[in-house]
Amino acid sequence: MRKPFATRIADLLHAAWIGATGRVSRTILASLGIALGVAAYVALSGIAASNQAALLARLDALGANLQVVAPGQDATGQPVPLPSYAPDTIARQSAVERVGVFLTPPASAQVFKNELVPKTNGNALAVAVMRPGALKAVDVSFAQGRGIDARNENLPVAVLGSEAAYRLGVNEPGDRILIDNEWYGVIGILDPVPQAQAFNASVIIGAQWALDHYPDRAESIGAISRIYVRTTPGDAESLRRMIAHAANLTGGNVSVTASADLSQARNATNDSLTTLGLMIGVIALAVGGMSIANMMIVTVMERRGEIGLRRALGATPGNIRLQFVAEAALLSAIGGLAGVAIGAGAAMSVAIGAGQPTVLDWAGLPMAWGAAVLVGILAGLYPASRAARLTPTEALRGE
Amino acid sequence: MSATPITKLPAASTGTGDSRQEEPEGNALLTLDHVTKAFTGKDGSPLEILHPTTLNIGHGERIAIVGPSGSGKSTLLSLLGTLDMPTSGTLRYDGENVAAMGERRRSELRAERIGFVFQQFHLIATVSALENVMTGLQYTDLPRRERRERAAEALEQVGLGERLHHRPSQLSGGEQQRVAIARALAKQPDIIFADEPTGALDTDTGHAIIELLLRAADQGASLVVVTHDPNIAARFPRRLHIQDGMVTELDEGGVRHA
Repeated sequence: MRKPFATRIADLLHAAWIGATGRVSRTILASLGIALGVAAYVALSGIAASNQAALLARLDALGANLQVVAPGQDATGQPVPLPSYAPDTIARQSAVERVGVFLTPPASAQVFKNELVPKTNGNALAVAVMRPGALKAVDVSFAQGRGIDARNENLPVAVLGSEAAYRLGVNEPGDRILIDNEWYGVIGILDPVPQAQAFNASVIIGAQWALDHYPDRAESIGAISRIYVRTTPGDAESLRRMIAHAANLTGGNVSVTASADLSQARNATNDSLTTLGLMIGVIALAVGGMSIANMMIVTVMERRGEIGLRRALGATPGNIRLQFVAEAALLSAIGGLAGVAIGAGAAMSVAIGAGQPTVLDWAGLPMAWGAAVLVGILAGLYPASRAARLTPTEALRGE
Repeated sequence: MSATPITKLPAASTGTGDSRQEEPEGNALLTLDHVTKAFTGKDGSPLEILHPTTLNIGHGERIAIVGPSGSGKSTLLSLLGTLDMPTSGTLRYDGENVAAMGERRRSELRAERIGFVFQQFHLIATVSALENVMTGLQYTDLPRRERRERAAEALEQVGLGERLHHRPSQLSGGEQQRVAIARALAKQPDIIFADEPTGALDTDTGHAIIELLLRAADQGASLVVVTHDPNIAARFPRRLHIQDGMVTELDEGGVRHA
């Protein structure tokens, strides 16, 4: 009759438990190494994950999920105008959060601080024509003043990009500037806009005013030049296809580009932080494994009497080897659990302290624990085989 | 008076003139046939600790092995208990050659059929008396529940029924040795080997332990006790004397003559 497998496992765990819990303080000290190793890994990867989540949130806010729709070109290189329904059809897509529409600025409109500036001293400022709410989709913030909305869109008012304000020498809303020989009141100045840098050197005026002011050019100004589309985060390529299709239902060419190419930064950050956490964890686990191996060697020497006894009671060398491997694995399993708890706690409190999202790599926790157990098993192999190699008589003499 | 080493007897006639002589050899529990044990000395030369020894141990027999320390008593006991292998000669357990068994089979034999009691008790300090006795059955096929029952019974039998859950440190020396005896008894062995079981105990406790071992052996197990105490040896019907690796049979009257 062979011993049932369940009894075998129960016996093994029992013997390992007796061995490991017999000397509590030493067990704690030995598994502390593994605990710290796992804690270091879990904490670092958790902190990295929180950092990353915070960083990605910032990247997303900046423009990882900001797409720019512009007229495409046909086969002969001629621009294909965007249909006027494009903003509405794009806005109807479920992944789209906000749409900002810019019309075509009047051609050759020059911007000056006042009429005294020589006309040859152009300052390379662009004019943009926005529909109300367009800047919300770009997600700009105002250094001073406010934007163009339904109440002032038919007035000669302008919003200046940060660079434009600097070049024009405008420090605060209320100043006047001269666009195409017409005075405009400055109502707002933007903070720098890293997600759409073109706005920094732009002077933005309202669509309604532009159309009213240039009735003879209403058709060209009325054409959509840019649609900024704020989406939910997701696969950039499929988002782009979806937007392109929505922008021109007849299949005409449309240019859809990411406002800023941050998706690569997103992936790069992801990898480097995780690798760092993993490396530190591996080193710490190796050190922890050595401390367990060290302790197990001492244990085997100290417990020669028990080994001899067990051999006399009928344990095979294999039984002895398994017992000590199981004991080492148990030590590291306990240490690993403690490490996961400590590490997760540390990562969460750091994240909370830094005001970052508390993100843990949940799938990584059992893997970190598993790695700890594996390290324990490896660390136990050598001491266990030393124990198994002892002959019963040697072992019994040893005490 | 000249001692005649039994090893001088030819292998074919293993007779030593004692009672086992009447039994055919096949019926003996343990037979040693010209068994020797040698170790390699510090200078690399072989050092024979046990000179060629031939003897039988029958079922239910009670034997004391006496001799000064360093005479080879423990070596002989290790060989008999299959803990060590002879350098030459044949050791048979129930007719089966122990050297040919292989490690696994020998371990099984020890687990199922041989009980050991040591001078230093060899109890696991961190677990209860009951757990210690159960450890004696850990390498058998018995399910855990039955091991527990048998362990409790064995402790009852040695008079420690009230102390199942005491740890070794909470027990006196005599009680600890009784736990060790219970551990050997729980498997209902064919034979019990006790290596100086009274060596760490005072005289009275020692005698009580020997009494317990002899009573336990009444249930059918053979009993082999190593001791250097002549008073204890005197309580055994068969005594082997060992000196400088030579084993001789003694009877009540002293040295047995050939």
